[in-house]
Amino acid sequence: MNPEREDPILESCLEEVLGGRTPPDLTARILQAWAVQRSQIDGNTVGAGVQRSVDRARSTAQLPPATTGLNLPIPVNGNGHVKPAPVPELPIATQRRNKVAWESWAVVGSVLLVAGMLAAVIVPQIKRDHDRELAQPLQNTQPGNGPTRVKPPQQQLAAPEKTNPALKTEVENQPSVIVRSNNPPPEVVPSVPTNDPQPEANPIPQIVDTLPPAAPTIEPIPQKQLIQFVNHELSRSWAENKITPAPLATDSEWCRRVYLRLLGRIPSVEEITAFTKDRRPDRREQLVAEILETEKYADEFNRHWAGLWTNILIGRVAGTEPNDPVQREALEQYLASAFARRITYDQLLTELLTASGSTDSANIQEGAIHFLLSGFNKDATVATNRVSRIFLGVNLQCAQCHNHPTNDWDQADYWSLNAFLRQVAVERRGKDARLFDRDLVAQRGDADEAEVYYQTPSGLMKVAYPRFIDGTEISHAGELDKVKRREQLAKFIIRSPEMPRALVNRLWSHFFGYGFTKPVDDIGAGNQPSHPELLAKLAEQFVAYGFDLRAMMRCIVLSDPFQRSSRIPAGSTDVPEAGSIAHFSHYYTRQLQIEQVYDSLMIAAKFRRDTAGNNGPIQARVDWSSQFARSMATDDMGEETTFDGGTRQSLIMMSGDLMRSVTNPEQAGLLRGVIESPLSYEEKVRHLFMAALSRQPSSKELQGAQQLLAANGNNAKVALQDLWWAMLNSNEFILDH
Amino acid sequence: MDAKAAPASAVTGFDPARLIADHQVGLWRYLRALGCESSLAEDLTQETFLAIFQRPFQELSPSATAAYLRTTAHNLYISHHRKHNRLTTVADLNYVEDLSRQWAKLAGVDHGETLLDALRSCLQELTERARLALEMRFSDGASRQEIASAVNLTEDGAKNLMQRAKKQLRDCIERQCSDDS
Repeated sequence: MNPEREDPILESCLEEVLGGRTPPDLTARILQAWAVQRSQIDGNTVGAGVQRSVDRARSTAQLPPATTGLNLPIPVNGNGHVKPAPVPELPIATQRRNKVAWESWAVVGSVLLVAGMLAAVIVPQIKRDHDRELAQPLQNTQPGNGPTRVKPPQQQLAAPEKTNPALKTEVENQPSVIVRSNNPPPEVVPSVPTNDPQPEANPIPQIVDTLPPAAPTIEPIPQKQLIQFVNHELSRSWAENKITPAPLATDSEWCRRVYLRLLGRIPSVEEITAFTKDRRPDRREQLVAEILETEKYADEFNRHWAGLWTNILIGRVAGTEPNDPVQREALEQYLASAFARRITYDQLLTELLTASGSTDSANIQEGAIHFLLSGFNKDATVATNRVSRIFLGVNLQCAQCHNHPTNDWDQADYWSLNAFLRQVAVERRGKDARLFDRDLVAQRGDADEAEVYYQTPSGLMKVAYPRFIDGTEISHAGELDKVKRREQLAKFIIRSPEMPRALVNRLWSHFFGYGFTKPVDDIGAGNQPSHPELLAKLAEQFVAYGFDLRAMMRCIVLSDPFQRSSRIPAGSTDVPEAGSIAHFSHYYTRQLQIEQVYDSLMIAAKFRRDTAGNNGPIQARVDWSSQFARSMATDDMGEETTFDGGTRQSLIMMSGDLMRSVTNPEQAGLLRGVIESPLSYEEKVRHLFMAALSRQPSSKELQGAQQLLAANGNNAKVALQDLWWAMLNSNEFILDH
Repeated sequence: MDAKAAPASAVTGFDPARLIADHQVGLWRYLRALGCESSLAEDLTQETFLAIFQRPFQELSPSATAAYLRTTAHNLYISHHRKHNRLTTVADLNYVEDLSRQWAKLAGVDHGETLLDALRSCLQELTERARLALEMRFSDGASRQEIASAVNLTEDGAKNLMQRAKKQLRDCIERQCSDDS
């Protein structure tokens, strides 16, 4: 640190631009020092690669005098070999511990004692003042005489204001001790008249003024134009990467995947037949519009997306334990009702983040509380991780304990975001719970400076106040009548560039199996999107369309890559399964999700009932799905699934209750209807193929069906039952292709 | 970063010379922005590379590598100051971390090139007198008295002139960088 510098960033730049203090070429020097270090490690044998690097560097740069760390010349021995550079000492907490003398503890103890005595005298006075001023607006609550102004949020380039060291105490090596220092009042600057040209004094910012300015309004472009942009960007990418795209999918292939992705199930025989017979040139657009916009599919659509979002928000395990107050059905019901209202994504996000209520409430709207209730803990760390991951596409979890190794997130970023969620409280009443906001008062008893505490890896205790990831702060107050931090957070997220990007990436991943990043919820400097322009454009238009989820879905399913076959052209290098970037040049075959299998079995077997306003089907699906999910008991409430093509999945699919039920010819449903129909055996086989696989059988498959009939002594009922069971257990049924 | 296996040199495609060539400028500027003098910045740049060469790592992307290097340099910088008892309070650490965060946001992507371009452009917007004062200060190392004499002001006036000029530059750069992003 150079205390003489007011603004080291600016001044170092000025020294470079004006003073010509440009970066030196240190290549040769560093390589030489490294070679010396390696020679010590490898027994005085410098690796050939290193030596080549040094030689190469010597040929391109003049080798400076041998130096090592901190400008010390490298000692050279009699053989002309340089001695190894000292390995830099890294900060080690234990080393510092040894340096702490007992006197330091005495000093700290004395300070704490004095602070405690002062607090005993001062806090009641502050409390009295505070109570008196509660009814006044925020700007009038600051102590001091005369007009005051609140210090505005720190500007990005402004030299960071050094905190008065007297007000904060370092408590290294005392991880369990929280500093109870003198309570620093909010920083206020008297508005003293001055002749210096000062910017005009702004009025004291209201809470809403702390929000970043809304992005300039962007005009939505016509959907066809946006689809063309998607197609163009990907065509360009294919050409640049010399990738041949797959041919277009057939109508039945495309229809099946549209139903699977938009409704979570395969099409029924009637639906696939009607679509393949449709000869209108715009039949694909018409089908998408019918699914997204008409009452016919509204309930299914809402239920499917409610299930998907429930899994995203709280996973599959939450709410399945007997004493867990979280009820995933209640969250699903809330989400289904929200989608029925055609809720926009910004509204949905706001409702989820700001919900309050009880788990025993009959009000569907209060089902939104289960998002924050799930995994709720004292420090709201689970909620912080989920909010940043799901709504911002930023995985801050590393930064909870240490600075992020590859992105620029540090602990302060994490805990500043966490501070937005610390007004939330949960009150348990037996199996039920109530989630609500309450005043946040810091441990030292101050509600105007309601900080949260966290510990650095070196053992330092630090404080954080609500500050969004873009650096914008809000009032430090913790009282609800001054600031509702959750509401502020929702507004910040909605205005952030990260939110639409995260949503589009997640939606894209839902439709294609891969997003623009892997994983979809960790976009950052260390995980750049594969198609940045495309992602940026879609995110921009998602905002322009008013956060309309359906508009984005329509754009994706009608785009060229979604209409490509899953057959991979020979020699294609687009194989993200192998770890490379996804180029979306063909439709990526993948296993159906658990819920999709359940709903597809229901529709294939014609077990679907009218579900409007009925919670039964949701519960049945949840029960079936939960047998495949298991909590990993990790800090972030991670889960693993056994629906992965393994033995458990195979056994349940082959002989579980559900499969036995849908293949039982005595039970009312498709199989019984087909068997009892007057159709010929071949027509019945064709009908079952359409029901399970959305296509007609090949001649070879028909021939096999005849052989099966013969093998069963011409007993059509048994043959059809076997055939039906085989198709529902085939790869073709369980894969989205 | 997975730190389990062989030394960095054993990782396929690892080229220390290229790594240094690609990142030394950004790293040196970053250390200067934290407040290092040129010589200390050079030493810590070297120490940073030596430290990361000890451990294998995968280059996910240039920006990820740059962030990793900055984190290492930041730790070495803190360590250096602790050894010399120059950095002892939470406030000091916060100050360094704030600078670090600012640099990452303003200049972390391209080693500071955009920031310097913005500064060159913003310098043109200063008055002749303010620019002269800054040039004398940062180019010639002139004292405040010499600057005051050259711009025909008192010493306090010259100080105010430079402070206002720097404030104007900060605002201008910040605006340009946010426009670029």
